[in-house]
Amino acid sequence: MNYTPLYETHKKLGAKLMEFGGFDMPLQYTGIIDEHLAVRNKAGIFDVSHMGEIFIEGRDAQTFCEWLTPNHITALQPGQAHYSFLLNEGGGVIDDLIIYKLAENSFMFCVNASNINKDYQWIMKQKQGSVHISDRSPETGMISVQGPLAGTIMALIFPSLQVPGKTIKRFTFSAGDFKGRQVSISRTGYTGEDGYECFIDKTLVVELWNAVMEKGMPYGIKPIGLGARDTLRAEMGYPLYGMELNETMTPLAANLGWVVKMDKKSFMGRDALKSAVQQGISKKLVGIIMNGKSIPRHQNLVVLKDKVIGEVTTGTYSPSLSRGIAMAYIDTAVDAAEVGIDIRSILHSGTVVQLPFIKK
Amino acid sequence: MQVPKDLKYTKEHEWARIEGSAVTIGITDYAQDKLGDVVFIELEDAGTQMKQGEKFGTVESVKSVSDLFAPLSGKIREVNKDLVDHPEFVNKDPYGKAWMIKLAADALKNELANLLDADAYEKYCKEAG
Repeated sequence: MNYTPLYETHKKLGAKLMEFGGFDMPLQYTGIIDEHLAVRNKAGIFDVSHMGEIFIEGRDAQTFCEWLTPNHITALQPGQAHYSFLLNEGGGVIDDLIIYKLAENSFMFCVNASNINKDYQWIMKQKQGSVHISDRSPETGMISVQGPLAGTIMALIFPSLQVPGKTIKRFTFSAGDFKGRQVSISRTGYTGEDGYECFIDKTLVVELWNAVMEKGMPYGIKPIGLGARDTLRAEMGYPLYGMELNETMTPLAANLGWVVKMDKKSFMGRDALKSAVQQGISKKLVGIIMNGKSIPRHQNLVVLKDKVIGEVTTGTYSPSLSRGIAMAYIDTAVDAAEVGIDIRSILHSGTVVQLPFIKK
Repeated sequence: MQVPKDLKYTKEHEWARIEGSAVTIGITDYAQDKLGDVVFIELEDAGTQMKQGEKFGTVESVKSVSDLFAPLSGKIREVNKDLVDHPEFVNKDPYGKAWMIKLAADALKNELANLLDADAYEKYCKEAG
């Protein structure tokens, strides 16, 4: 088992812990619903130090990344970031990630905790030209501050965020100073709220966490566990690796075709994606809001007129809607306003909706 | 963790308040704490005949789904409909407003020995962590 630098802090805060991606992580502190609503209405702080940071640097780094990943790397300026994938030859998703362009020919991939090793091995195997690849996950800590008051709280710790012309836009990042050390502050997140993610040397993570908690206290900031992280992302229809995304499925069915830039001449997985498009995508990812009180769960079957048309990938209770919600892959040809979900052998009706479940 | 002395318990974390042959059933404080926010409850209907250890319903938190098992055999006489509308009672008042079913026990003498008293249950939970 791995531990983030904040492990003792979580225990002191009374967190219930769970294993996630090989780490002992907080599932919840006060309760998932309470934490979820704190992020929607005020602010929350998340320990996401379990996430991985893989650096790709060197003379050919840009060329290599442009070929390795499907989004437009050449469109990124230093200080900009975008969502992307590592795809295999079949167009399946090895991982989903955020790519940060640190400088010319210098990139950081922020990857899922459970995939750090797999990703690193994959990138090393594909390596081309003069590039240096390093996994700096063990020495890098990461804290996420999310919610409508996140910006106000962050500006109290990093005054540079308020300087006109220096404010960072969504999916950009800049350097901040904390106790004389550099912090990368990125305006990104996984909640649908405004928010910031801070990459910092692991020896300073606890101090940064404490500073954010102290400055955020008057604004009602709360520590948020992985339970609420999951309900927050589910309400936004954001995919979670292992649920909506895996190595046997392309990103196209997951409404993520916008990430895949087919106008690029070549990138890993492009040929497979091209033929997938030509053959037609057989599944589509939809949202389903339950009409009654029941709660759909991962792997429940989706049924229309006695026929199985799909399967739930994410099923949970939505604290914002006070209803059960599901993300499900269903047959592309199906165009139904209502479907049934088989929950413990009883069909419960749900309304098919466009994702996200809540509009921000 | 609250473990009222006057109740009997199962290792599946149900409690039973036994008054003659009338038995009120719910889940324990330990169970609600482990589950987290309870958001859905499904119970068998009144009139259903239960056997000891048989499933009488389901409780769901945001994150998890758990079956409920009858601590004793008997016919269900009453179901807490209020609780179905307010699953959060399980977290707030597990031994009071969150009672789930009442049944008329019909094999109490033989089955009582299968239940734990408060001290034994508390010890069991502490060992489970």
